[in-house]
Amino acid sequence: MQILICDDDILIVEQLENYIRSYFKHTSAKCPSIVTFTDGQSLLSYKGAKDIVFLDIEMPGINGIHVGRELQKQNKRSLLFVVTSHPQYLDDAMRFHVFRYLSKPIDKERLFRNFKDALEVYHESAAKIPLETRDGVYTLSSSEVIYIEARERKVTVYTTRGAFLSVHTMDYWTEQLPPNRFFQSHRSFIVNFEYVNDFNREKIFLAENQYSAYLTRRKYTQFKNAYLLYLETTK
Amino acid sequence: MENAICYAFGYIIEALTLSIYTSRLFERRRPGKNFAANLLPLSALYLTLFFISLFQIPSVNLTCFVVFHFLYFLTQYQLKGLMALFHSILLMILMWLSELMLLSFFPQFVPAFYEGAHYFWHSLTLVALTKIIYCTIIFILLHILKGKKKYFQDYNKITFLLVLIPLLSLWVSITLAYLPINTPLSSGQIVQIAISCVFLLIINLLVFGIQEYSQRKNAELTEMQILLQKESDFAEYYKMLLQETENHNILLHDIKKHLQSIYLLSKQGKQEEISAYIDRLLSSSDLKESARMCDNDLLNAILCRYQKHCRQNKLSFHTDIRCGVIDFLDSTDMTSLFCNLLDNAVEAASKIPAGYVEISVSCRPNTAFVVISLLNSCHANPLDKKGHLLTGNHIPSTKPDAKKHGFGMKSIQKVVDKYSGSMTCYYEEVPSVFHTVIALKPPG
Repeated sequence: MQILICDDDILIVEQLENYIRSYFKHTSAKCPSIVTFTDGQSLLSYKGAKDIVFLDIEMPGINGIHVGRELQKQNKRSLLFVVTSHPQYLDDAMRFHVFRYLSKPIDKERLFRNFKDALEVYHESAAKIPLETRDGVYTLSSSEVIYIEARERKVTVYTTRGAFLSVHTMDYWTEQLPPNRFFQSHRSFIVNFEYVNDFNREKIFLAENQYSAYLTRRKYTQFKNAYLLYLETTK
Repeated sequence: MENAICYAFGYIIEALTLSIYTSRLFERRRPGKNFAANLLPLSALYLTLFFISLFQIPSVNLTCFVVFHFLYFLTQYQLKGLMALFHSILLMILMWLSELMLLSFFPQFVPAFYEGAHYFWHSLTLVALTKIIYCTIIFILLHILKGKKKYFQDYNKITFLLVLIPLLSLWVSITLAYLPINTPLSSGQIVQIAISCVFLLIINLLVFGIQEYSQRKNAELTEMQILLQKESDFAEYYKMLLQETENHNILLHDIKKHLQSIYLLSKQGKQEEISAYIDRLLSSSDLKESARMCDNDLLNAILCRYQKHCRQNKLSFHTDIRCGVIDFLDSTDMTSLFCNLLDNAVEAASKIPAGYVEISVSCRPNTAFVVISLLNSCHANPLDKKGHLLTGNHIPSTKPDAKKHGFGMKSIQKVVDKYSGSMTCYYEEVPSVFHTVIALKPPG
């Protein structure tokens, strides 16, 4: 994972870097690489990974909104924090998805709360899962799995790349998949919250209603609560 | 064998009557089930009662009737425990009294009813007549209560007291039933006993009527209190608007004074003093615009009010309202939802040092949902073991009007239900933060 900070104010850059390092120290986790920039052009020219980006929107030179839009074109999965000292409402001007807005002066506790959400989203979407089929082993990220269905003693994994017949059982998949992102809604179905469009007491609709999965009635409340928690983390 | 046939006939009619009774009054726990799946528990209930009745112990029959009906109502319908008990006892007493009534009258008209070669047909006729009376009473009740299904999901304290009346009637009716067995009574006395059974039946029907009336009044009261809550929210909003208008008037008044001062200075030719005066004005906090927090004017006004309130209480207040996501809410619902959410959040956060309130509203792409997330500091877990919010004496309210307490959540739930949404709350011990997450489905 790489964390990028881009702000023309060197003091803000240093402050953010210190806060992020202290977050990892506080959680006893290894601090990933942090790369800093003072202008948008250098950030866009950087060829390394841009997993989590702290972007100041009021920088001289290239417009911060343009930088944000370009960043999202380069990598749709980048999590963008917009850092602003502007008191006015900004979202109507944004043409890209902002993960969170942070106001200057930076509130350390608020940064920690939202950074924790960003790390959770990053780790779960980046998690690699080996998918063993009769034809070979594929490596997928969990965000590519739409849902898994067991039917007539066969387990099929439906992904963004297509459907794969897995050699493993549903129990295996229940253990493998991140629990905050996947839910076993029925003994024959495991769904990825990321692809849930809509649901009712009997069915879950996935991937723009292309697919549907059964939802056991007794699991309705549990599913609803788990899905709401997922929505809260990835808002 | 003949008794078994009579019992079977009686139970079939009771089962049909119960099926109609429950379908008219109660909501099923699993509404989508097919007819066969619904028939199975009912058949199991009456088969069990039939086999128990073959032992011919009336006290056991009556007890099992109540217990099995109670379990049936609890497992098949959306009824709370006490309501299930109330209905099972009431049905038992209506059935028992209708039988007792007819059994008391019949010997007066047909003295040799139980003797002779036609005993089986006489018994079958008696069973049919008692069940006709029972069904008639039930259908009259259903006719009076048609369209009132929603009232029977909840109960209030009066239900608990009303349950005693059928139980006491049962004791009295059993006494009346056994009296003629050991004590020879005249036909007049037996008629008196029969009429007493009729009166007991009427009393129990009245119990039913009182219960229904009390539930109706309860539901009306709750609706009124929710309306009062809404009106109170609107009143707060208009007060805020008035305050804003007053602030603007003060500003206009001050601007006039400032312009007059600048005019006087310009007449005196004091250019440097004019520049210094204008500089001071420009940097003055009076001319600072209030921060705009979202693109919806009404929500912005609500958020500004709570921002001011938080500042006064030294709380941090953060918002993240994404563009164009909340416009589908009408003004009443928006006021109800956000004012109640923020009222509760600010009250909880103000009890903790360096407390904060953070609200965000965003739209989940490619889904039907708009997500509202509210985090606030909270010194104690306000949820009970079942995940319901504690109210009343469990969490002391500092709200000026204590009667509003508890109805805020009902107002919020009403808005959530109106937009086919879902809501969940949970508490994190370690940072002492309470989370409320709501997902709404915009119409269309």
